[in-house]
Amino acid sequence: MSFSPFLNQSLLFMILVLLISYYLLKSKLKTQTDLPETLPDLLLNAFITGVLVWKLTPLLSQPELLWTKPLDLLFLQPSGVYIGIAALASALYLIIGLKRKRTAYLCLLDTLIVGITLVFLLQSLFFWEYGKETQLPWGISLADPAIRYHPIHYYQFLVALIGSIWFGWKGRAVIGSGEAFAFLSMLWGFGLFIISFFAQPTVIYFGLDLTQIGATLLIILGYLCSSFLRKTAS
Amino acid sequence: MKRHYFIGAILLTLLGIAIYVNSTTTDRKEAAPVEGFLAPHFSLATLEGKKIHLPDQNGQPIVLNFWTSWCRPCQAEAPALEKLHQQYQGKVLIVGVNLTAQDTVDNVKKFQQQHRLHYPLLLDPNNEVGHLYEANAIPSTYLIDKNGVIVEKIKGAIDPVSLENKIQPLLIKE
Repeated sequence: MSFSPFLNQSLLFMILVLLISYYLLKSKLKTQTDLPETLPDLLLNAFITGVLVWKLTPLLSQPELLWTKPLDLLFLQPSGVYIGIAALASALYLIIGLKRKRTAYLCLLDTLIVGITLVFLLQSLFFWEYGKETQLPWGISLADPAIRYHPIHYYQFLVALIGSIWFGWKGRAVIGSGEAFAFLSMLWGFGLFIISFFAQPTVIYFGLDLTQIGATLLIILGYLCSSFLRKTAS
Repeated sequence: MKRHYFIGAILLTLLGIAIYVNSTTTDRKEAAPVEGFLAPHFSLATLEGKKIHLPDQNGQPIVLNFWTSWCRPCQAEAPALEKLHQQYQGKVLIVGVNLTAQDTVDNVKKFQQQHRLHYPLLLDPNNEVGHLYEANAIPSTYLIDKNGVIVEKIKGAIDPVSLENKIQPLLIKE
């Protein structure tokens, strides 16, 4: 969905994640004093840096836009490698800003993954995604009622719901320990991987589609975080 | 250590199943303006009056761009589409569908001359094709593969490098 030439669905998703994470960080700062006070603002600045870099990346291939049609930079929506460059710029900003402060890193990772889970809970209800054909009673149809498809967005909603219930059960105290990141990454990783079997694969690299590659990375990240937490605890 | 092997084994099993499942993908039967579905068929006349039926079955991927002359992002995007048309002529079909119900033929002609466009510009005077493709955002671009399946729907103007990166896998895909 596109809301204006400047705001697309992914950007809106990230803004909502940012708002939830910002709020969680602000409330965490009230109870945990060893965190840098600037942490929420650092996250906000990292996001703005990422958006600015993202909007300016077309200059890498067409520098003439700057003096011929600078306004076009507002309208163009770079994707693929340009999104990667913007994400890298945000990450670098955070790494420099956090100065190897472990608790701050864990706090950020926890708030971001909780934010993603909560926004997914909302998004998956509004944006329908049709999977492979099915005869199952909960299948959804498009034009022909005789043909039904797996409701991928509802499956994602279930994963987000499990994650949200887990967070509700653990409470805000879990933020900052790294436990939320470890658990929710693995939950999303395994959840999305299993859901991908019912989805229509689009781009395939080495026999896997993009969701499966992303899910594998999430499982690995979650597992590494969980192992790190176990080691430091023992 | 046991936990380490357990998670590794589950992940490897999932990867194995994924590679098998992805190799036995079934094709869509329905046509709908949704990613992963067959692109709906339509016929429209070009600015020069030539009738074009799309998606045709000549095995070429299609970049179907819905636009109007007054839309600022469409003006930003048009040179990139022309550049790609020149670069991939005969390999990828780039088509612009003007939502003429919200535009005028004179403005379309001016737009074509101003941006020196050589790819086919189709006129949709009753917004039938715009409606068929649910092109509510202007510009909207559909990437259609050789089999007539919509691979991606892009809302808003995309920059040329990103669009080219999206076109290249369509040339390889069977």
